[in-house]
Amino acid sequence: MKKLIGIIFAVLSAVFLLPVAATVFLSFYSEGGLTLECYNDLLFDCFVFYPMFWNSVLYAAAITLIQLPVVILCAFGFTWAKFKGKGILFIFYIVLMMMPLQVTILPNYIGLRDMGLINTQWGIILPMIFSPFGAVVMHQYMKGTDSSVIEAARLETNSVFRVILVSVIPQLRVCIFAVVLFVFAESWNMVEQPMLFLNDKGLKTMSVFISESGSYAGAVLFPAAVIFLIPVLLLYLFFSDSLEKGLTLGELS
Amino acid sequence: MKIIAKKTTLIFTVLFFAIMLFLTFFAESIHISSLPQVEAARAETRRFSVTAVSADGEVAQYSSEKTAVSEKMLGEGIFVVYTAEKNGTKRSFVRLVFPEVGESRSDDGYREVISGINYGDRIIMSTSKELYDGCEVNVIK
Amino acid sequence: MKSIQKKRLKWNTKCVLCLLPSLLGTLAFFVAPFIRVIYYSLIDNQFRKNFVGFDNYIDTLANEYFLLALKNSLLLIVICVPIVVILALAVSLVLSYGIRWVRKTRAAFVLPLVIPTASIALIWHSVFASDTSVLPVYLLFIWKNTGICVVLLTAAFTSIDPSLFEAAKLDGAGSFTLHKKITVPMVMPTVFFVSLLTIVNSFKIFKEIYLYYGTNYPPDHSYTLQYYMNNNFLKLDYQSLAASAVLTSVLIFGIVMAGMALQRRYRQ
Repeated sequence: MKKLIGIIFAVLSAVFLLPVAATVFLSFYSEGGLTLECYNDLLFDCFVFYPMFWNSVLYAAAITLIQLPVVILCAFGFTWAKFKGKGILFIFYIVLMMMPLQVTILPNYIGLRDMGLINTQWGIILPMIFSPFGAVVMHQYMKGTDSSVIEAARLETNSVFRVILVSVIPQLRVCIFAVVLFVFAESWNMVEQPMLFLNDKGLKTMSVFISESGSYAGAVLFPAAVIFLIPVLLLYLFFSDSLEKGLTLGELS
Repeated sequence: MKIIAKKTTLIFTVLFFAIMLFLTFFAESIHISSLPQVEAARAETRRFSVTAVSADGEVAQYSSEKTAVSEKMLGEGIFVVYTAEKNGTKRSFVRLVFPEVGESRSDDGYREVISGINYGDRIIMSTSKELYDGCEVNVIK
Repeated sequence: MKSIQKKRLKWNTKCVLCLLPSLLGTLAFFVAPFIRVIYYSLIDNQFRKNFVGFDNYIDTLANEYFLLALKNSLLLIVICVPIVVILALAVSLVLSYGIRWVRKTRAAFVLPLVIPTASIALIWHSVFASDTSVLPVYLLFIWKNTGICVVLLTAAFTSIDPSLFEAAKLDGAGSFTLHKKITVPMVMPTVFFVSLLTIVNSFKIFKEIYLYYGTNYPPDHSYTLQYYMNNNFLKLDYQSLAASAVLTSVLIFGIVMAGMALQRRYRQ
């Protein structure tokens, strides 16, 4: 019986991994043989690819790094501040988090246009910084922290920053990694915003490149897809053990 | 075991980004160095005498400057340079032309071109590698 | 005594201030524009700005494309969410209680989560190029979303205190009662959460379908609410877009509220 389950599982995991494996395989395949030609087409013949690659990296990194302190602060506030309407505010965040992109994209676009941020990098980075996902998840984790450590830290100093730095962050290191991974993946993956908010080709991201890959000469799609998934995959591998631990501590309501 | 995995991942990451950085700066020059290096020059012109008959039967002879190609180049076809945008950047390509030539010959062996090469077109004079129709080139001069 | 009160107040104020950066940003980038959107949905035209009340909403609800999109979005939920949840349950059951090496395969299920959509969409497309039904889209959704459900459910399963099982066994409970009385109640909240999450994700699936079909006008069965809104956005038809955006938000809000209320009731 156990063997049967084992076999079913092996098959199932193989099926799940199939799309990824297929992408990698097809990137080396051209005209009926294994070749590096597609990579050649992409890397040495399609030079607009490079700025787009670095844009993806830049945006995702900036969003993740800037969002981190904002989100940690916010989650801290949600956990430890006492005021009327805190619950409602938090529910508001949750609802906002669950809205599909299309609902928020129009408000975003209008807001950015009025601020004159259309077609700039900050127009992409700023809204994503305030995506409620990070705050909600971080708050869930923080609820599970030990308040005695915080009390102890409060005896030493009255500065919120130091308290957080010294007592909260060490406990939540694992959870922070999980949040970093998800936020990075979310920003890395975004395709609607660059497509709609950016006009200059030089500012666009790799996700846009892949979706438009039909308009480029040469078989650049699969190599681009492979390159696209490498950074996020590396990040996942780097944080995978923390990820598992982090996710066991989090639950909603 | 986990530490080893982390270290390899880190090395991989650094390697990956180093390669991408390198390619970002050098891919274009590498590509260009792999192209045929060509020298191109404007198509020459020569004076050819033209006989024209006007409406009332008058015959006139005059000479005019016309695009001309040397006799020896006619055999294998002329490569004409044109620029086009490929994948977002401007590149130079060549197309193979067998121009139609007229009867008149110039003194130094040039034939008048009737069609195929326009005035101002640049044609290949020399190349480092064999060319073919539609191939990309790097124009040195 | 008073100084402690003061200190507490000061501390509390500081904590509240912590929320400020996030709040300001959310306000500026989401809330204020959203109010703008509601305003847009109530006027007839960008230029004339006449207040027309609910006309736009009535138009949208009567629009056959909107209804088609709505139907498709709901269909996706009704069909795919149970599949994802059941599949994830099965997988996480095996992962939590099963053979050791099977645990290593957990990565295979989580990977779809992290893999960028763009990389996968076109592979999917070439595999299913001949299939004109809605199946590829459903499969893509299931593939992507099972992962996070598996992770969360496994976490729930493994977080059940084994000593509870010991105590129950000592009391003479059989295997079936054991699971029914201990496992099920403890895992139920997570099941709820996972179902809710998947429902919400089904609304977010736009990117995948868009990249899969590569056009703004997919076959009828895949035309979801997001397509409707996206196309309006591209047509600069802000009125329809605003109305449908508000309607969709109301719909999602309702679902989320219902889900949370249900969850709370079950807790009792």
